[in-house]
This record gives sequence, structure tokens and C-alpha cells, in this order.
Amino acid sequence: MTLHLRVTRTDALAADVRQLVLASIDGGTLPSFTPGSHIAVECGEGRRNSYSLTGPTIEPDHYTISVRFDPDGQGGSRWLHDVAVGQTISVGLPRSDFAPVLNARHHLLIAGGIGITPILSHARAAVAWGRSFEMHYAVGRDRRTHIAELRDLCGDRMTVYPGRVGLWNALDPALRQQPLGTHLYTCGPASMIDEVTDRAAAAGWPTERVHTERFTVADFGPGAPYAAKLARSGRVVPVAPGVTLLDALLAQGIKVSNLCRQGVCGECRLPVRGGRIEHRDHYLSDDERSTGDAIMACVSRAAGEQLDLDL
Amino acid sequence: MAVSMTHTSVPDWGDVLVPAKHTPVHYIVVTCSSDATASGLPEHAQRISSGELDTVLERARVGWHFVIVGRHSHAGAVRARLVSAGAIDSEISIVLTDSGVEQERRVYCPHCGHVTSTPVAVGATIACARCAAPLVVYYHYSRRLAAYLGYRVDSEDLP
Repeated sequence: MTLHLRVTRTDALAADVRQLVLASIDGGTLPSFTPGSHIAVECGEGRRNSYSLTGPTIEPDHYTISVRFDPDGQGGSRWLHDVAVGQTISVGLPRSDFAPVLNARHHLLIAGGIGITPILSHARAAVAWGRSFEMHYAVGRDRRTHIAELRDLCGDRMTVYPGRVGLWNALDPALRQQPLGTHLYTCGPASMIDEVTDRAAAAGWPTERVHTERFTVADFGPGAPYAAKLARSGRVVPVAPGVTLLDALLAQGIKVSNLCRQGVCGECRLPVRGGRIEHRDHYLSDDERSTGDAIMACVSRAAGEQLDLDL
Repeated sequence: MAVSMTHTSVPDWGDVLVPAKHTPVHYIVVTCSSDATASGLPEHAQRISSGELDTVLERARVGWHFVIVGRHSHAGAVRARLVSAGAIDSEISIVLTDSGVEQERRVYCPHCGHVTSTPVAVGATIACARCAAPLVVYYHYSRRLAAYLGYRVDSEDLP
């Protein structure tokens, strides 16, 4: 389902971050969402980017997103930096793989840079519901966004670090003194998320307590060519190096629903009957990976010469 | 009972320590009775009795791993206490010191709320120790109560 929303306001939060406020055209309430949710925003011809929702979650009369300008991106953030108040844009319904665990004893929120956006939503909900939490926010002095609102919400529960070193110095002891029942949530650049999860593992944290929201994925390289066999129809689709399985199938007119194209959202999951898989996504669990009966077509590839899809 | 027990809520705890998938920084071995022992326990573990558990939980941290050693009925109750204190499954290992069909089991009576502990097989019938209702020990195990659900053997016949 697609929502058509009007841009009612824009604000420059930092030199390269623009906040957009979106409301329904008839002024009605928008669908509620769980903290940490994102929406896919159509930003130019056939292009969709995902942005975290930073505003109120329950029957909101507007959605708010913060768009960081990415000079190396494919143009979606540039389009959203140029969009004008009054213009209508199309967005998908809110989705989330980053919800707070409601029976957690304490919430440890860790944000880096623009990764503050889903974390802000977590902090807002934690305050509204009286949940115990603490916030660690690493951000360069000239890139601080939402800082006044965060200080209002969090008070002395938030510590801001001008760089990663300060974050790590504080985080290592923090990870070792969290009460049993604490859950950790982190969003930021991929390298920061990886380091947070590594440090949590070194402090003895089970992965079930560590929740990550990634907006970029690691670069795995183009990979080797292979053939995707569609087991039901018998068709064989060659997949060249540097071409994703998703793009190869779409080019042949085979419909595969997809959204983030970064191995994060889970939309393009395809059933696999045979052939080994090189999993490159952040969606499937370890158990699902070892079972080997599903592939995220947008990023993952065959590990051998052929992959049998149940299509 | 034509039921595949793998699809019931009856726990599959065994008598061998299954190591954690992650690397905990501190182990607590909770023994349910003075004679409860098991082989292969972590070397540097802090050993406590189940009576000391509440005190230890007051300062328990993420990164700790709990190994419960004891009989099925007792281990289940300790596990329930850990979960209510915030622990999750991957932070708890259970090593049973009893086994067999007729383990001591805790059976919850839905008529009076009493929990009866007695050696009994799942599917057999006992009398509730408080209200004497004849209860079938059902293959439905409450991890919160650490008890099997009992139901009246004649519940279908009562008016």
C-alpha cells in the first residue's frame, strides 16, 4: 500500500541533513508504527530510499524523516533535498525490524551520526512509557541533529561523544555493568555497528540482546557468474558478476517484490531448492542461513555454479 | 497418547551441559540440592545454591550465564525465577540429575490452584494433594509456573 503525503515543512538540521514533515492530503491521521520503524520514500523516477521515522508513533498527524545528503548516492537524497513544501510524495507503510523489546529491564541505545533517527524514536517511546534507558550518541560537533530535542527527552541519561574513541572508552565499561535483562539497540555507519556488536560479544552478550538497524551494507565485490535455475518452469537465468540475482530475474520479466535492495528489509526473499548460497544479507538468522532454503535476491549469490530456485 | 512430544511444550532438557553459543564472561552454577553434581561444568564458575539465587540476581549483569543443575521439577522452578529476573533462554543451561519417564513433576491443579510434586509420567493420573481432584498430567508445561497442567480425568463426563 502506498500513502500519498504532502510536504508541509522542511528544516535544515545540519549542513547536509534536511528534515521533512509529511502529512496526509486530507489532514487525517496516519498509520501508527512501532518505534524504530522506517518508510520507503519514492524520491525521483523509480527510486526508493528508506528513512527512519523520528516523530510521534501513535495515530500521528504527520511523519517526520531526516534526510542526509549523500553525494556518492544514486540521487535519492539529492531529490529529497530539492523537494518543495506543498509537493506530494509517495511513501510505503511503516515497517520495522528494530522494535524495542517490551519486557527488557533496561534499554541501552547507541547511535552514530545520522543513525540517531531510529534511536530518537526509541528514546521518545521509552520516555512516554516510563522505560529505563540510557543513550550514547557519537557525532561530530558540526553534524549534530535533533540535539535539543534529545536533551529535553533524555536529560542526564544521554552522553554525547564528539568521536568514536570517546564512545568506545565509555561503552566498554557500560557493556559490563548492564543489569540482566538489558537490550542493546544501535544504528549508525556499518563500521560502527560492527564494532558495537563485536564489543558486546566480547563482553559476553548473547546476540539475541543486540539489535541493529543498518542503512548501508558492506561491499563484498562482484562475485562469480552462476546460473539460477527456476525449478518449476525449468528456465535458466544466467547471473553475471556484479549483477544481483534480483536484477537478473527482473530483467527476464520475472516478478520479484523488493524494497531496500540492501539485504535488510526481507522483501525479496526467495525459496531455494538446491545449491549452496553465499549469504550477504543482514536479514536471515544464523539458523535460516545454515538451513539454506532461502536467499535474499538483492545481495546474496550462489556459492557454486548453479542455484535452484523454487519459482 | 498419539502425540509427537517434540511438538508439545514438554521441555527437552537433558543430562548433558549444552554450551552457550556465545562467550559469557561469568558463569553461575545453581545447584538445586547438596548432592546435585554434573561433569563438564565451567571451571571458574561461581557455585551457589538455589536459596542464594535471589541475592545473586540483585546484581546480575548481561554477560553472565547460568547453569542449573538439579532435578527436573526443581530446575524448572529455578529457570522460571531467572526468566522473571530478565534472563533469556540463551543465558540458561539446564543439566538434569534425574531422568526417565517417572521423573518427579510439578502438576498444577486448575480447580484449586495447588501444585502437587510427585514422580509421575506425562499422561498418567494423580490426585491433587490439596483438593483430591483426579488429574491427568497433560503434555502442556508452563515454563512460568514450572508445572504441568493437570485436568480432571472425568472432565468430559461431568454434567
